[in-house]
Amino acid sequence: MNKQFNERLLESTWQEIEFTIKNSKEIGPKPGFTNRWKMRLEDQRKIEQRRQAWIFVGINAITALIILGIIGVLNFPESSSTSEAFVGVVAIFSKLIIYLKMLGGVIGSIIKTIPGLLPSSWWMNIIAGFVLLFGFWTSTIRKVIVQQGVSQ
Amino acid sequence: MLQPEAEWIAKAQKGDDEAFSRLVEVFQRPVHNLCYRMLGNANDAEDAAQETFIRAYKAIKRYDPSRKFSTWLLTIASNYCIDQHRRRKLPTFSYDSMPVPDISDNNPGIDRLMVLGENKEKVMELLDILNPKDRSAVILRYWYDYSYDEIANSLSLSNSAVKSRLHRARKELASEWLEMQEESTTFERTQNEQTI
Repeated sequence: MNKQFNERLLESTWQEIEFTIKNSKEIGPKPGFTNRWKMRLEDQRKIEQRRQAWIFVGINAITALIILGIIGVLNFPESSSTSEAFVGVVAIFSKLIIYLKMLGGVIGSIIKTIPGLLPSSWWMNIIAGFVLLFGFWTSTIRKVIVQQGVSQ
Repeated sequence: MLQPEAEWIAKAQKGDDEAFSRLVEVFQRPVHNLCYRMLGNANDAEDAAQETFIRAYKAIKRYDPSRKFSTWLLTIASNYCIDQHRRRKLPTFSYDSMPVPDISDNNPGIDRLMVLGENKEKVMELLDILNPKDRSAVILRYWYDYSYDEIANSLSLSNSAVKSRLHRARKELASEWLEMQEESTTFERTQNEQTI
C-alpha cells in the first residue's frame, strides 16, 4: 500500500518536472558564434599544418640519422678515434652523393639515347602508363592524409 | 529535412566551407542548448558547441544523408559532453545566464510563473545528480523528444538499456525533487516561526 503510494507520488512529481522541462526555453550562444567557429577552425588548420610539417622534418631527420649511423658503423672499425670516424663518415657521405650524381648522369644519357631504339607509339604507351600510375599514387596518398585528418 | 539544408550538406560534403557555415548558423542553438544542459555553464557550453561543429566538419564526408542531420549533430555533441564529464569533475551549476521569466505587477499568472522560474533552476540542479549517460538520455528524450531508438543509437546503448536508464533517472529526479521541496518547506516554516 505504502509502496503504491510512493510510486504514485513519484509519478506525479515526475509529471511536474516534465512540465517544467517542456516549458523551458532553448538557450542559444552569444551573438557571433559562427564567426568564432570559423576562427577556431582556422586556428586548428594552422596547428595541423604545423604538426604535419614537423612530422615531415622529423621523418627526414631520422632517415638522415639512420643513413649516417649505418655509414658510421661500417666505417668505425677502420678508424682509431671518434674524430677520425667522423671524418670517415663525411667522406663516405660525399662519395655517396657523387655516386648518386653519376647515377643520375647515366640515367640521363640512357633516356637521351633510348628513344631511337623503340617506336614512338611504345613510348606514348609507357608515358601514359606512368601518368596513370602517378595519378593513382597521388590519389591514394591524398585519401590516406584525409582519413588521418578526420580520425584526429 | 528542409531543402536548403540538404543542399548545404551536399555542398559541405564536397568541401564547401561556406555551406558548412550556414549549417553552423542554423544548428547553433540546439547544439548549444544541449551542451548547456549537459555541462551547466555558458562558457563550457560555448566551448563544447564549437568543438562539436569542428568534429562534425571533419567527419561531414562520412555523414549518411538518410539519417537526420540534427540527430547526427546532437549525437556528436552529447558524446563530447559525456567525455568532458568523465575527464574532469565539473563544478555545480551557475545560474548567471539562466533565462528569467518576464514578471510584471499586472501579470495575471505571476505565482505560476514564479514557481515555474524556480522550478527551472531546480531542474538544472537536479540534472547534476545523474551520471553523464543518464543525463544525456534524459535531455535527448525530454528536451528534444528523441525516440528510444534514436537515443540508443546516439549513446551506443540497447533500446531496453535506454528504457531502464530513463526509468531509473525519472525516479531519482522525482525523489530528489521531493527532498528539495521538503527542505524548502522546513526552511520557510522555521523562518515564519522565528518572525512570529
